[in-house]
Amino acid sequence: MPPKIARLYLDNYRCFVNFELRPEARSLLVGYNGAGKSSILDLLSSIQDLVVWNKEVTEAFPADTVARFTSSTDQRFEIDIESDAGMYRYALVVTHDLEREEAVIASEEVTLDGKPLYRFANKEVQLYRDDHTPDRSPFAFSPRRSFLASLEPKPSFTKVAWLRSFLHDIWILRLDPSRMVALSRADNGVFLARDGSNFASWCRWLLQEEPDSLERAREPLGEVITGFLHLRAQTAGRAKVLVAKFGYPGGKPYDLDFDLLSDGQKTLIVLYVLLHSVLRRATVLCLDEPDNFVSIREIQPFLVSLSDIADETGTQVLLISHSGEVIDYLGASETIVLERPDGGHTRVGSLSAGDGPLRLSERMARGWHAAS
Amino acid sequence: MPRPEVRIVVLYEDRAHDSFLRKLVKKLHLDPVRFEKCRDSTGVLRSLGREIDALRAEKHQKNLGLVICIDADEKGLSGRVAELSKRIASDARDGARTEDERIALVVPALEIENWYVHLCFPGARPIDETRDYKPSAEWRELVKDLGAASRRAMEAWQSTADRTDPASMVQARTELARVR
Repeated sequence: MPPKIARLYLDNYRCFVNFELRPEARSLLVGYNGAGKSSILDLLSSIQDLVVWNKEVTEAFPADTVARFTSSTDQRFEIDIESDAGMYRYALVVTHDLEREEAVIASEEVTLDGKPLYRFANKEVQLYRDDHTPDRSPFAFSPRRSFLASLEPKPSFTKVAWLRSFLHDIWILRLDPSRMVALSRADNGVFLARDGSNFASWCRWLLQEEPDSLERAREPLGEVITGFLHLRAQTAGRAKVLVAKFGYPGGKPYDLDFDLLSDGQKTLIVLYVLLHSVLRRATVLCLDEPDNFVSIREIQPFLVSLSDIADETGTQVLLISHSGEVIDYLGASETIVLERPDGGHTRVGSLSAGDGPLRLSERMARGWHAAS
Repeated sequence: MPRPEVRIVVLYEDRAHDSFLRKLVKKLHLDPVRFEKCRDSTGVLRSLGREIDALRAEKHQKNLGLVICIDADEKGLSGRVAELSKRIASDARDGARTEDERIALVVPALEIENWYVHLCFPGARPIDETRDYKPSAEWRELVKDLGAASRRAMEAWQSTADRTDPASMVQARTELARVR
């Protein structure tokens, strides 16, 4: 069974108070603007920044992420991850000093089926071996960062290291084609930025390290973008520029710098390259409105390709979308509605596809989607 | 090369159908396809007339086709097929399905779950087409990872009938030949 996020718990974070979400292997988050859909992905980004990328907790969880509804300055988060080894839980409590705009980690814990693997509390770290026995005495550590980000891989800590690796391989993307440039940098391409802005650099890295993934994306891209032939990194002086080669019957093939493509073309290229590269190693792929900029005819073929590859790889998929195409393809059984009744904090709303002739998207457009 | 026009529309019920049919149409080289999830059997029945009218309105394009997948449920294979035929005759503007139309009726009995179990668990063959396999240990294992289950099912899907194949699967193969 592929591992997946089985539960997310958020308390006192933006519009979430004592909130729980249970995503499926493939889940679509929908809801009115401001209902908190993107904030769910932001939380995953923040935890990844803290635990994987070693950012300070004040940077990962700035003071403005504290909910306005409560007087508490403590934020609580839990991520449950279902795996063959059992149910992992990552639990974090962040305490804010709102006046000084500083935050510290009050506690941080990793358990497997309720048994400890790692614990940070009172500014002390206690590590546990894979058999859950304590590893030497607790030691002092700064509450400003997560010790997990500095954990050295050792044979006795494979389980806690697995959790960090799972978090590392969560891909969270909110593509912004207007920020994507053609110029690539050799030192900026190992990881794709969450807005896709360094796609050219990342693609250059892929061309060198994983050319097969670009090759796999070539044929489907040829089907969705008229005349598209392939991508390549072209030398321009001391720099390299990502160019897309196009051709048409009877004509001479020509190159276009990546930033000269339309927003829709850029988005499609990034999405299909993602499908054929990232999805093969991602644990969870989170896409915030991937259908933006994409023509209606291309949405379902992308979803079908995404579903096919996710089926093959076992990657969990979390989507955010307002598109009727996405809503109707996934349907009520895989859709989670977020709502904020009376403008208060977010809750999971009820969703009914109803018995009438309307599609789910049409019901939602009319506000008739709530179960009675 | 730009994406060709949609050639086959697939009308079906739910996630279990979706996972199975996505792989089946690939295996049968039916492409490109438009998938229309209808939530349940009522949704499929309700959409029939509209989809058949749409198909017939484009009949100058000879290569278009429609695959309708709906569980037999308690109606049984022949009962559900009869219901579908009756519904097409009443709901579609030009009436009943004709022999030359590329419209396939795929009716797993009792449900698609029976087909998954049949294909993925050779030891469970022959499966009982009147039995509800949803509570079975086999289905409970498969449903944990539908993607993997449908992959396994397609590896076992044969183009010609096996003697243990359930009658609904044998009939589905004949039906699918209409749109190929």
